[in-house]
Amino acid sequence: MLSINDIHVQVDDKPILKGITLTVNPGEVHAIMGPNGSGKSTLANVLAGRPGYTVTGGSILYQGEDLLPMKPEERARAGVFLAFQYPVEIPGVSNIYLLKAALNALRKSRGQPEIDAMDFLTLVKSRIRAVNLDEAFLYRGINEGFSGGEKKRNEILQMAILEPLLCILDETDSGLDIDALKQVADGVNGLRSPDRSFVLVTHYQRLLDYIRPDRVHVLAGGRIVRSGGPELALELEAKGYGWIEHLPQEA
Amino acid sequence: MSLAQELDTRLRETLPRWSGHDLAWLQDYRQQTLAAFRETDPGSKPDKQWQLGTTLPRSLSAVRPGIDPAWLQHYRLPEAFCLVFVDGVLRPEYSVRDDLPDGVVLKALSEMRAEELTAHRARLTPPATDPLTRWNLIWLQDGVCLDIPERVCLQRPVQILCLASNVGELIPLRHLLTLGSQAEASVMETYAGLEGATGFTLTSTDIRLGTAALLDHHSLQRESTRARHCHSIQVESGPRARFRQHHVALGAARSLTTISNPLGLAAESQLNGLFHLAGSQQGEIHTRIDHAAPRGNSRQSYRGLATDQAKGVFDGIIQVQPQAGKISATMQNRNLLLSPAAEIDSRPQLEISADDVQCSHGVTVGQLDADAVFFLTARGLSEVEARTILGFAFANEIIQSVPPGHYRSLVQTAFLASLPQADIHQDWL
Repeated sequence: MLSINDIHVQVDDKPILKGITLTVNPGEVHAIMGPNGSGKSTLANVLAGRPGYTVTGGSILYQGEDLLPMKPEERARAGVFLAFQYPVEIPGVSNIYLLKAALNALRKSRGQPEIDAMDFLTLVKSRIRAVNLDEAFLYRGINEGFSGGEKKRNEILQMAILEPLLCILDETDSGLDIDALKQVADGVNGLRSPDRSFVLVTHYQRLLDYIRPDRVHVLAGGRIVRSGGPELALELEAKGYGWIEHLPQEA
Repeated sequence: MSLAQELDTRLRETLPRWSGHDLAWLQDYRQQTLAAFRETDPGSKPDKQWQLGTTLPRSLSAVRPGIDPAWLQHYRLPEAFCLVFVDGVLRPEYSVRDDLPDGVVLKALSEMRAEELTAHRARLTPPATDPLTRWNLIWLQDGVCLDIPERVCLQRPVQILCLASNVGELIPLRHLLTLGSQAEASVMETYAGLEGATGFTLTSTDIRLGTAALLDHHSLQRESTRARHCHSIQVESGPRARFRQHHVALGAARSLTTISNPLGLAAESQLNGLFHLAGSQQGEIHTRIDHAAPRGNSRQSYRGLATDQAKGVFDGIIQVQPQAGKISATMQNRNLLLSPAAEIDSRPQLEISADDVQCSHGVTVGQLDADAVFFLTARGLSEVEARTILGFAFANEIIQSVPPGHYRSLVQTAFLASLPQADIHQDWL
């Protein structure tokens, strides 16, 4: 699915990622943890193609294709989805318009016709229930006046409708109360499938109480300093991030 | 032939069928206004910009072409009383006035008898201090007179549909709208031009609102991009009157809309507006809210979009007179530049001479939010599509302040047609 090989990334000439290597197989859930400033969000943004990040070395293969030359929309159409840490508010265009435009952009790239209006409504109504948002949110401006939790659930709704193959969640759990966290986790768990992979970027272990990862990676200073199973997250939770900063980079 | 003689001849020949032609007070006024016009510096700025002295209307006796029914249908609101003017002349065959409630007058000036015109003498012969107003009044030939008696609430909207098809000629219009106390109405002024029309629509709307009257007034300007358009809206609001204005300017090579509204005791004025300029279009919106009495409330929200080499201006003045205590006034102006060569000047001004008032204004001129562009592309939309949607969203916030219905979709359609790419699916909105 995803093969990151010794990737180096700079922002404004400042090195942020200093050689990340990571392989995500189909169906796997990988958690990327680490202290603030470790480069977690940079990794998520580089995968989605956000402008302003300069890759100075290494490569990323997505389904065997070189991901880096692809534009953000090409990545999205190929099945890469980034759930934003700070979802953007766009008053003046409704949420449902975005969902329809995004879904049809994907369908068009696959040579499929525009989705039938009734089928679309049925699809949206079934998916919005799963994230526990009221249907009224569909007709409001994109994220306009949504609470933090509603914005994050709205990201999961978009993910559920677009059915991507690689889902990258950038601190989707931050700022959520426990109920919203559970709803987000339910949304993600409902989408888990043998051909869909997840990269969960998170600062805290608590999301992983609800979404059980296959692998946990700890990022510090732009490098993966440790990888392990779900138990690594619990260890981090117990010890904090202080101790890992002194660890050498994992071979 | 001198300009004076030329004008004199033209005045006679353009107005042969109109009863106003025989009214000495009106003809005197026009000659005086003409004299005043000629005395103003011919090199003065408005003259140069608008070529006032040389743009004349077509003779009323000239043959009037038919208009494409599809074009008319596109702009006409199905539920509205409607007066249609083509190149400044009433076309009764396209107009709809069946079932007007008792006491409501909806006529064209060209249909009014001498005594009816005389009843509106003061408003047909106002003091004119600037060249544009003078030029409009000199050529007065047609327009709408709407009179709604007190306590009458007009259920159906009134549409004033002014279509321009001509080349290089002046299209003068003057509308008089009067609402008695506690009367209510909704009026849509719609100005549209055939592609390639190069005329100059010079129009003015004089509005009088009685005590506690309510007027929803909408103006849509969708002239040809080679035309000129100038619209002056003057509103006098009586005590507790409410004036809600919604303006959308999309067309014309050069356009100017001015709105002035003195507010009576506890009157309300809510102005929302939008311009979208592309190519080498130049467009201006000027507002002047005059808080002349206590406890008034004014809210202004204007947005501008400019792309290519277009130039826009928002010039808003809020005046608060010394006696106008406890008023509240806000003015918001947000602008979006969609290309490096586009330009928008925003000039908000507050002139406050009273204590105990709440006044605020806010202005922004910026570009599209890069995070929002990335968000939409990360959902699979192309960058061009993302930018179009964001421009539309910015404008649509103003468009959405129109109540849902035929008029809103007309405005939305007109706005979408002004976008370079047709990436927005209106049926999904």
